[in-house]
Amino acid sequence: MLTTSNMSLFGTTSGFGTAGTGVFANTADNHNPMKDVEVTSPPDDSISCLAFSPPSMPGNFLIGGSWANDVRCWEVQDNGQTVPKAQQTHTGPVLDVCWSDDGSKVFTASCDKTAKMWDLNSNQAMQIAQHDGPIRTIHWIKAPNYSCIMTGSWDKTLKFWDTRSPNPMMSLQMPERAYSADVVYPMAVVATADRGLIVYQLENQPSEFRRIESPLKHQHRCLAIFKDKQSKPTGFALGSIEGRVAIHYINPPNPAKDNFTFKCHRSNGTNTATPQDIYAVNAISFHPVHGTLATVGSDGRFSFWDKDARTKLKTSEQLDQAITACSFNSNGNIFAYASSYDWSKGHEYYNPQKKNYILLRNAAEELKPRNKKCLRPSAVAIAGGGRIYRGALSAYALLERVDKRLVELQLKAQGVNQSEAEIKLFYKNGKDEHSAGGEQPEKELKKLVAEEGQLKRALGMKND
Amino acid sequence: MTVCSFFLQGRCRYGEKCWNEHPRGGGGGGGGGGGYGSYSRPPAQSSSNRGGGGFGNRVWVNPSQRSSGRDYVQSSAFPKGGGSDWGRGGGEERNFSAQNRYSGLNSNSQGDDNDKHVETICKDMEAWESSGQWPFSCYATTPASISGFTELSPEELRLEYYTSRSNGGLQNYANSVQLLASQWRSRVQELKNLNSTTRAALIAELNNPQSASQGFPSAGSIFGTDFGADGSQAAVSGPTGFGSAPTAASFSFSSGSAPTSASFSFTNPSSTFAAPGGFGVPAPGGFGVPAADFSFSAPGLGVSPETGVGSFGLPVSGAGPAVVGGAVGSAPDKLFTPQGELTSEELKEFAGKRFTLGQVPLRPPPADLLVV
Repeated sequence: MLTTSNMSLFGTTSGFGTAGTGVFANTADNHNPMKDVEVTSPPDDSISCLAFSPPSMPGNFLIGGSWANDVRCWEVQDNGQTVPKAQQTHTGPVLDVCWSDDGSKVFTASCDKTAKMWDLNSNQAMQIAQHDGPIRTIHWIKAPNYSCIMTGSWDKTLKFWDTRSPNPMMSLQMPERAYSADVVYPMAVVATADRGLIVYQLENQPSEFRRIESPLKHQHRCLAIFKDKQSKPTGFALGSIEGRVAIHYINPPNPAKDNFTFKCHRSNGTNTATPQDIYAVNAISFHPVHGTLATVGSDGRFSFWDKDARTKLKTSEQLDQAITACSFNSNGNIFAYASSYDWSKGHEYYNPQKKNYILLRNAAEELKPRNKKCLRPSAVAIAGGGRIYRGALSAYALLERVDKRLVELQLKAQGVNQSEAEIKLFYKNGKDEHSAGGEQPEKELKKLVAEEGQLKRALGMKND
Repeated sequence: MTVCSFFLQGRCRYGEKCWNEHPRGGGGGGGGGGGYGSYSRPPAQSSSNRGGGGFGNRVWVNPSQRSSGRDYVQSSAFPKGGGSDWGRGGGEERNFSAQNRYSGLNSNSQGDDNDKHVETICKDMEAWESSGQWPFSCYATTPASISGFTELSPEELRLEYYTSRSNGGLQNYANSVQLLASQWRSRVQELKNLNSTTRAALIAELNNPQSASQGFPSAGSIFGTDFGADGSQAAVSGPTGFGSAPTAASFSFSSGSAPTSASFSFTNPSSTFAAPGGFGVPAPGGFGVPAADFSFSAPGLGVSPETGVGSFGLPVSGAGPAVVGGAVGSAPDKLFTPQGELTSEELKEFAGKRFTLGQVPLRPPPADLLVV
């Protein structure tokens, strides 16, 4: 039997674990603080991955893999009801799932070192891949001249499988264990242990394209590719265990300016006095229409971000458990997220009796980038909850207050139908008593904008 | 003119109008504003970088070269501590030391970089320790990771738990995790509270990650990334079992048959606790292996073997919960030299009221000669 002293690692001993105590302590049922739609019959153990059916399929189907070795499929109806459809099992926990582009098949990767192809029409599953270690990532690749399955494993290989052959089409050695990957043809990116980042190009046949120095200091945890306006993959977002996300472009015109990192999933964001609790970023997902992104963390929150405006759009209430996976449906109207334990505090905090949830949220509005047609785009973009940057936190709080006032004033200004040009005129003729109505707020606004500028300079705000 | 003590602390409010002397011509923003970066710069480092000019006490003067005001607390505790400064034996010397403390800004960019990195590392370690974030992660400020951290994702650990649970080995799992955690904790402590030896080793590693990484058995993962770039590394690090150099892109059409080993083991060649056998080996004695490995390569760090083992060997060689106390407790020991080991000249210097210029011992003083 295990004694308490042996099990106390993640508990009261110094450092690790202490900061987190109390976060999940309130026992009031807080599994769904935002009253989102609960998916019926969720898995019995933590949910490791979620994937919505591709746009080629009518209707919405959700696949979820779990640590209870199973993969389940639900139909999500338009009225929000979820209907369990089918399930398959592996002999080990399932770590990743993906769909084929036509939606007829689902591929599952498991700790039992195999990957399976699940034909949804016949509900038959067959093994299609084999590794020497647990398979961490699985992705469907659809190229004009070939289609295959890419599996990344802790055995430090990346393999490509034609689903009809027991042998891989190709096997690429990686420097380390695969931790996360994403594919948007013709690009694949794999994040590995020891901060490895490898970009593959998939045209004609897969090949290593480039290794990238990690912009993050700690363990890579999740990765998602984003596209440009022409729907071509241009870069990726990378999340680490240290509550930080890096936005990285593959070929940016100005790397120093375009690439940046931002903090997220941390506690007491504005309090510098006490040490911060820092949580892992468990998953990242891009909105298929707006190009904004969602991050979910060990802290039991999800956040929506606009990487182009570098702003936060929303942070959720805190759930009583970590959020382990998330996914958008094909048209971006549904955001699914899974509430379950992510092992971030070790076995001590693992409660097999705790129920797991998959929750569905309407994402149509919340992920829209903010309207940029305002007085000062840079300032107005702040509206939601502060710009993304590194800096002193107390000053940050002050800045945020200023921002709120700014937005208020700007809305007021818009309310009286003043055009941008007119307001600029106000600025110029600040001393002339130009008009009676909107003058006072304008002056204040100008002052605030100046103050904001000063604060930003003081904080050394830059693009990282 | 007296050197302004407020300026030295980086908080003189008078700036250039101050009546007292501000060494380095006031370029430091007259105290206040620009102060922080400069005053916290560890002086010993800069002096050793520039050859020191015979300023011998750099070896032990500032045992905790920390990026905090604590330096000052420490300095007052020096033996025969002539005032609040490091300078000893004459105004000139004092000036020199004062200049040194600010020299980081305008000299020797390499040393400057190192200082910055070391400072960042200390801060990051503090945050890592207090933030409750996942401990089994690599860590880096430069492209290459700092050695001594075992990397495991939460999923890997969880799978290990599930495997142990199914074959009744939960106790082993708990022990292994315990061990890993104490290794992590002592490594963080070590980097947080750098002494001169660990600091030198760290800087050596920052400047030359490949050679330094040999020193740490638990740095296996570093080889992973550097392998493709420099195959020769494999030969040098022979004992750690990197004989089979992976080729960058091998087309293996090997059989897809399932490996026979029932449980996933972390013991693959370049994984971090490869040598010890990792999970599933109940005997903590398994961890003796890396320690031996380490002492073998310690000289490569440019650190004298005895201190090398003392500072790095401990966290690895110790097994079980005792390791934390051991490693931390051992750190202060190296701050002192037993009286018996000192030469009579050195002893005379330490015992005397002042140091004789040019004869300042390079070794730490014995504990009982400290005037605190």
